[in-house]
Amino acid sequence: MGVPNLDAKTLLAGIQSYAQAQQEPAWLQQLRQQALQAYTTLPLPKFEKINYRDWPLFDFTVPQLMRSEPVTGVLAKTAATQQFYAVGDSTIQLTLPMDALQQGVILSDLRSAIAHHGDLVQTYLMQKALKVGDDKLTALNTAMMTNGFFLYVPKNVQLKAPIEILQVVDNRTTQNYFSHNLLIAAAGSQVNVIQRLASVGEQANAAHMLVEVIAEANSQVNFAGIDTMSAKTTAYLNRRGYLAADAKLDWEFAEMNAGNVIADFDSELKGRGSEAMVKTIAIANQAQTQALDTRVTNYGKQTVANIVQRGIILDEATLIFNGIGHIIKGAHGAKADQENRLLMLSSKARGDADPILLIDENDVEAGHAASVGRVDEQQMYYLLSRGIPKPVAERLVIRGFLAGVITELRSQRLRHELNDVIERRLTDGQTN
Amino acid sequence: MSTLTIKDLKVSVTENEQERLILKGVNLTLKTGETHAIMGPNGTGKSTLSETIMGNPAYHIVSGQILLDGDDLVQRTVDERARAGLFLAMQYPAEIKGVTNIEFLRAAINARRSKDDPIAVTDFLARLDDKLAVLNMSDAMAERYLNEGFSGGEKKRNEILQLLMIQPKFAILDEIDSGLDIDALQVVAKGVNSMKGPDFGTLMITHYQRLLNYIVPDFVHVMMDGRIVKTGDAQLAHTLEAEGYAGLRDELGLDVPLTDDDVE
Repeated sequence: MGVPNLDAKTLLAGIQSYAQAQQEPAWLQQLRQQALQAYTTLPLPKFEKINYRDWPLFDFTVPQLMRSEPVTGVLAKTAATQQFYAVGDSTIQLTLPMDALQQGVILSDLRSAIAHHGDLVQTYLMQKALKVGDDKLTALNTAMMTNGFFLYVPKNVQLKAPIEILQVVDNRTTQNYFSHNLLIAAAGSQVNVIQRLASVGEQANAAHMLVEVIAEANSQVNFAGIDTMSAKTTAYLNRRGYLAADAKLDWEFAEMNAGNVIADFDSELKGRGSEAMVKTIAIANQAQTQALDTRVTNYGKQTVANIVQRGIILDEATLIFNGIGHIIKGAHGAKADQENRLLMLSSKARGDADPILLIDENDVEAGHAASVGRVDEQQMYYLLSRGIPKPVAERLVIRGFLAGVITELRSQRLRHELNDVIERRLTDGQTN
Repeated sequence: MSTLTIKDLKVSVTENEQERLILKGVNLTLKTGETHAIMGPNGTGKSTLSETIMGNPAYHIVSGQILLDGDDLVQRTVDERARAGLFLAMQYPAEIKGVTNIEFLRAAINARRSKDDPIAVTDFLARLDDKLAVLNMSDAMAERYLNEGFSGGEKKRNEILQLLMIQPKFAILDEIDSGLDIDALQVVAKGVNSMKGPDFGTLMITHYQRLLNYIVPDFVHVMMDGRIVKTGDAQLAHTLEAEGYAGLRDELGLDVPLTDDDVE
């Protein structure tokens, strides 16, 4: 039941000695202690229709900085073009275009941000998007975090080119992975971020990864999260958005991991007129379980929430979409819409697409659609009738099903990249 | 030369949990180099015949054979039949968003080649340009998602584009003329006629004689109540146009109900 292999005292001592070795400021040491306290007292967050308490998410040791070597192979090619590239705790590459630097954009790892931009980190870390008392797993991450990216886009700065981030969980040795990431888009700013989360190596590890996105008034944040961790990685992912007045946050998620994953992708529409759009595709195969809770909460008036998710389930896998639309009392004129669709390719596959609407105000618009279905026989027959063998035809039908989300993605490059990732995921499945 | 032989084919479908016999013993022989047309009133089994030849799982073969050069296709899967040389231009082609026409066509062509020898992109594009030109189709159409948002006429043209790209031995064109205006019909006919040759045979299914002005058949078969009741040359279609199916039915002394209401 979420009890770590370490007792609370050893853990506290380990965290304190890590924080001191890092010469962390007093406020952060205090935050870690609060977080540890919350971790030991709070229950595990609930993911509907999923029981993850026996997953090896709590196989960790006291925090210590590990040195990781760069990766080789296909990932290295991706790495070469990234603005931020880290393996395990080691930040390997950091670049920003000159104009971004001149406009005061800050991109660094979290450790340097704490050292050099402590005020900014203190203002936002676990203060707006996530908070220490939220749940056990975010508290654990905050107590244990050793790495992550920090991106700050100053007021009215509009970055055209995307900031691309590759983070690789290092499974070449058994080690902790507690990554805490912070993106602050100041008032009137615009930024596109692509965060790729991958893994390397054959050891089994737990990966805990949080992203806090703070979108201040009138800002526009486009955030793509492409997660492709291996079967050896058991993961807890949490990406949380906080939106001030008239801010827009556009999430695009691809959950292409091969291991067990629970993910919480939530947005808080605090400011009047703010808008969040969530587009997700996911594939689960073999004996894997992926469960995604996607929530958007309308607090402010005239706020708009939109969730569109498509998932594919093969083999004996389980894939769960819990879509949560919550309109708080006082959010007059709010809109919340969601669509969750799953396609099952095997009789042993398990899928749930649950729309959960919680409406506490009257003059609002809310809608949902959900389906769990099998392959369209007409489409299959058509493809087969052109001589295309069944496995290839199935892949094409799947592509068509996911296209409901893919074709809506902003960047053509990302559409191509995801089509390749999907193809790889599906051919992996078929060789087994 | 190849031969497609249909031998005493009986086929049923499930309707309201009951099997209903649609084809009641069809015999037909097609050779490459020949153009055949099957005409007949609605509900007589023309589309059942074409779907059964292709292997649509909704149609159940009760007895009979479908032989391609002596090889029985009945136990073969749909994709195997296609790779053996059959092509069905469908009445209602499926729409698949997210898969472009180009990807689809390449997958279809590569399915006929060995795994380590896919068609070169330049060869593929050259062939595609050539065939698009025959059908007055734009490059943009090849880039679009498969049949998605296509008009009725565009879908028919796209079926013929696939025919020209895949180059099967036998093509079955199931009401390729329905919903086409005269200009589109001429383009579709031009496409089919461009395939004519000693290595290609056609079986057209149609209600109307009009199509046969543009794709002239060597043989016309009339189908009624699940059987081919008369076979003749192109002239037979003209006779039918003048006298209707009822005239032929009475001439043959058949006891077949004709529901004119069903005819478009």
